[in-house]
Amino acid sequence: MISRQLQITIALLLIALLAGGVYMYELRRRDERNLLQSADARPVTAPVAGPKVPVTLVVAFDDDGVLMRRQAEVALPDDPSGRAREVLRALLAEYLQHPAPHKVGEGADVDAVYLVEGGLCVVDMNAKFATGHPSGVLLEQFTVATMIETLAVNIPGVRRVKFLVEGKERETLAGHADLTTMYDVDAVHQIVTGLEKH
Amino acid sequence: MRSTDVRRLAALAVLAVLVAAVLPWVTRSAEEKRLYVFTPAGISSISITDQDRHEYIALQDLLPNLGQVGIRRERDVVRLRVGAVEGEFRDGRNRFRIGKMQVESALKVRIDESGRVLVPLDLLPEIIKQYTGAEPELRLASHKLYLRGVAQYVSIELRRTDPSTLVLTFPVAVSPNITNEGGRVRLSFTHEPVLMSADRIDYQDKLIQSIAFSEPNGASEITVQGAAPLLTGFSEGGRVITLSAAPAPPKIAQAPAQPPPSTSPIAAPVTPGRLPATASPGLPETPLPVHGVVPFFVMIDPGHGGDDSGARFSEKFQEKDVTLAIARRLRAELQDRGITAVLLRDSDTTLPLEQRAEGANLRRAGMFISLHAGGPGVGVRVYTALVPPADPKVREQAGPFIPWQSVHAAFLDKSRVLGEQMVSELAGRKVDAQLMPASIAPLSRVASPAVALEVAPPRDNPSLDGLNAPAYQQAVAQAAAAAVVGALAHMLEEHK
Ligand SMILES: [Zn+2]
Repeated sequence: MISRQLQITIALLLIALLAGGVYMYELRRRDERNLLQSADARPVTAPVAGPKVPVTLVVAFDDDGVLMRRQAEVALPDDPSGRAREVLRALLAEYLQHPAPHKVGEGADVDAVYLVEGGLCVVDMNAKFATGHPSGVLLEQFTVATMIETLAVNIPGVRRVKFLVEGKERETLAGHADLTTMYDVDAVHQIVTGLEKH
Repeated sequence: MRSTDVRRLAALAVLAVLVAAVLPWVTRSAEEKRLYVFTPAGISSISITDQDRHEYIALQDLLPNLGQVGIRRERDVVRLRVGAVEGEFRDGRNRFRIGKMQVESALKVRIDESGRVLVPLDLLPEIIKQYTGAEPELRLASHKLYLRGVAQYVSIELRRTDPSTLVLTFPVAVSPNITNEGGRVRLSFTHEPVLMSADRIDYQDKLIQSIAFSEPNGASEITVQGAAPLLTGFSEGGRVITLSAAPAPPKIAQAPAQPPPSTSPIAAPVTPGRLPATASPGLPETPLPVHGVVPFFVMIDPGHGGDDSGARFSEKFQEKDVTLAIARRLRAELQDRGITAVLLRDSDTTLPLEQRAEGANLRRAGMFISLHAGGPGVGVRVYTALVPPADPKVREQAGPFIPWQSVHAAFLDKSRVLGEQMVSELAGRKVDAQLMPASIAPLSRVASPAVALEVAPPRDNPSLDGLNAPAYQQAVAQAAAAAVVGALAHMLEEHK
């Protein structure tokens, strides 16, 4: 027969084990949740089939006030609109790092890209792209110009680009860059050339 | 007390009670936004509705001001005729037709259940032009629409006699309500379409300090600030209002007659005209300025303001304050060089972007300088508008209309000249500077040479303190003012 004292000790140990298990489980769940939340800041890329291909990103560097071309490997879908979206997401990923060479709104993402006949490309961004964007003429110009140039370099036939935010026209990106206008790719290319450092 | 007096008092009391009872209702209905339409026949006001955060009016409310209106409605099409010209409108479209012309609109036209055609406010000049052939003047900020020829611009002349006299000349006789509080005289025009070409003019004068224009609730108000009590006099059958020094009460000495005074360097050209000394004592007989001529002035746009703080540098230090500080310095520097300068905002007020370009265009500014501040980097970035080269295809589709984005295209060369002058003047003052195009609101909508400056901290002190240093801001303002002078000289040279 097990002594009463031993019975109590075993019961206490079992309770402690159970409590510890529950606590560990909670900790892991919290970690997972945190991980998910921090991942939120980066574009949630839909799983894209297909092998990774090299693309050219035109990236802004705020500290030096210059733009530079960077190669990246991106998995691209077959449809042109999807390719345009993934290329832009690859550029945004550069800007959403910590630290980043240039910043856009935390949680910025491309909702959709529409390639319209006649070379018009409509880029629909999420709200966080604009609401969290740092305010300044050059800072906003960097974002707009590098997105347009990156599109033009990788998606043939894009002549003009129009930005929407959550499907609607927005007056400016963050107080300066005009988003009501239809950007002319050639005109933007001239700005980019002036700011580029090889 | 006589019985009539008692009766009058009682009537007054009843009136007071009535006013007190009605006032809350009146003020509430006054909050409803209305567009004041000034026509040769008088003023009417029509209600403004908000659609998707933009201001719209119903064409059925407006068109009767233009002539006999005919309305036809067939399913989703509404046809509105004024005289012989018919317009065709469909719900949810970005274009419509008036006569033979297609009009493009950034915002959609709406047709409500009762068939009223709702159009964005800023399209009214184009719509009225198509219906009548005459373009009206729309002042979006104050919700006023003047049909062509109705607006009456006041012409202002400061005669630098000792003491000075300010002469306001109107195209027709006016009868404002006048409030005179010591040195401040307020002329309030409740039913006269009076306009001033600048919002405010500051004088470096011992007596007349400033004249300002505002448009409270559909009225027009001119406020003259003097350093001493002012006297208001009418002449020319009510067309001319003169503000002069009020004689000191004990001595009834009149100001001695003066030789013809010199006017400010950019005053409007003068034509011979005689001013009978009817009501204003001591006013010398001098030529009157021509009215309707807008003298050259620079419109300065201090970026952001009010709810829009621009870049936030720290808890207390925001872009909107820096832009206003530099704007005021620039105004003073320009005035020192004999050039009139007007600020689009001279306090911490919210001013929508569309109203900034419009404010400059309606007043026919000769140049436009937009001011911004902030990083990255150091020095001053000078921007000209990014206006794409005219696409022949777009041109064709637009027909005879210039798309509103390219209003500025005709001024781009002159803007570049101004920008180049800015860069060289800044460099001459050891401030880093570079020139580049940027698609920055509202430059592309400005109908004059225009640049935007983005002032970052100086190289020798790349910090917020450096950006806020008076000596640095002054150097930037001096360079910008010198650049305006240089660009003007360049343009005059080309004009020869
Ligand atoms: Zn700004």
